[in-house]
Amino acid sequence: MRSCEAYQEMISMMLDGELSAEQSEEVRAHIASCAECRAMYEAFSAIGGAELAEVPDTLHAKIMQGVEVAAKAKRTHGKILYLRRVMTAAACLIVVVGTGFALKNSLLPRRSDATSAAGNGIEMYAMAADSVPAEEAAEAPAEPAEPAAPAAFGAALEADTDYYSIYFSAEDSSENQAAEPIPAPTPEPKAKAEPQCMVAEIAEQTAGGYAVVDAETGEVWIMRISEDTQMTDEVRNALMPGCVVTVEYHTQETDEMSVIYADAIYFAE
Amino acid sequence: MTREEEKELVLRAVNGDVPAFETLVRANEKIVYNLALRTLGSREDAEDASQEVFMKAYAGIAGFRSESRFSVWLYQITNNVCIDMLRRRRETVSLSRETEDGDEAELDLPDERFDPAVLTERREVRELVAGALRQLPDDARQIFLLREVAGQSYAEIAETLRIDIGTVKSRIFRARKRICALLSGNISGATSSEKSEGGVQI
Repeated sequence: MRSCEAYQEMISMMLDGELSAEQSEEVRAHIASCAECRAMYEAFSAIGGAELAEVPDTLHAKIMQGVEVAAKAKRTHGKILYLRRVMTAAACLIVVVGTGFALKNSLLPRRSDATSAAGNGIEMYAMAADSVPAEEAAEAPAEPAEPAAPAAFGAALEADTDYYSIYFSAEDSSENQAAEPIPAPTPEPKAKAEPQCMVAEIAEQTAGGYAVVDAETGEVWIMRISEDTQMTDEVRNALMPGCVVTVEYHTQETDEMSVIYADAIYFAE
Repeated sequence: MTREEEKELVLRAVNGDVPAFETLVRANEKIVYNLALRTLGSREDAEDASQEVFMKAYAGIAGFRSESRFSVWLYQITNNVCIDMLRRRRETVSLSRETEDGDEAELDLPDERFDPAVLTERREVRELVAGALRQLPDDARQIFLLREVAGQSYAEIAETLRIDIGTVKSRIFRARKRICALLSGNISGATSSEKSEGGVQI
């Protein structure tokens, strides 16, 4: 004879079809004679049996649109990696791919003139309002950090001007993601820094983030904007499908799939 | 769809055959959508989540090992996408604190008894269950949905969540008890006090 407690767990299993015929018999016999267990059986039965909602008409098309984005990237670049394990970034290397790029200069607050490329009219703008190392940011994504003023951020950069470097490259990148350094006093990044940048095309905006396609590898990522990033409506409006941006980002160890958290976004004309 | 047919479609999708992948989408989108809907609570979010799930599935399909069923892998993606979205929305209401080895602390849930005979309409129960689901901790809701919405067996759930079958059994049992407890709390006080003897305290 089993205890009611044992029978009760078996009731749950019986409803899931996980008992043998004999075991089910035994449970049914017990239920017939035990009011308490019978009540549980009735309660469990009542809450079960989900009614599935029909898929909305437009959803299938919407799903396939997303799939087409991924498919296009795959066709163009020949591969999409399933998993991209990257280290969290302590610093970022800003890469602008393509010649003659000029960065839009009205959308974002200026970071620092010290980091702008002399003679090229190229300026760098930062959206990330704090310079918390990516590891910390990854560990505490839910806590909105106090956004530092852009000026303070710029000052931090000036003090540590090798934190960022700007390169032009007409080709896809080498491991340093740079071909020709621009003629500006921009030192090499520190060896410890793991650059986490990509040039990506915005494909689609969803509630879960922006679907973006890495221009270099064809990987499809979901880009989420970090909680502690100063996002203005103007920038948000500019993140339209088709737009190509350069993204500084970090990833989180817990993510199994292709998610990046954007710390800064740069626009190219 | 047989496992052979599924394997064939997956292989073709790996090679860029979008129509083959679309067949896989059609076979699975209803459940993916419903899992997302019951987890996120909004049609719009569930639609976005569904889209994200299949984009990621297409992008990553080369990494799918055909030893499992496609659905197991797909539901793993669905779980991750939904959990991410919940985290982002900060709408996760956790009623329990997990101890270090993952056991959930006992909750201070209503003491009363859920008697389904009190509710005459099946639909009433469904609505209450939907409400109760929103109040469950993530993993209790998740496992209940995989069983009831996705219709997975214990073995499949064990595979999807990467836990052993014993854990599946006990988690589902506890999830049901929690839902019943929450329903007991939601039914009007007058009703509860009129409950006859012999009702079970669950």
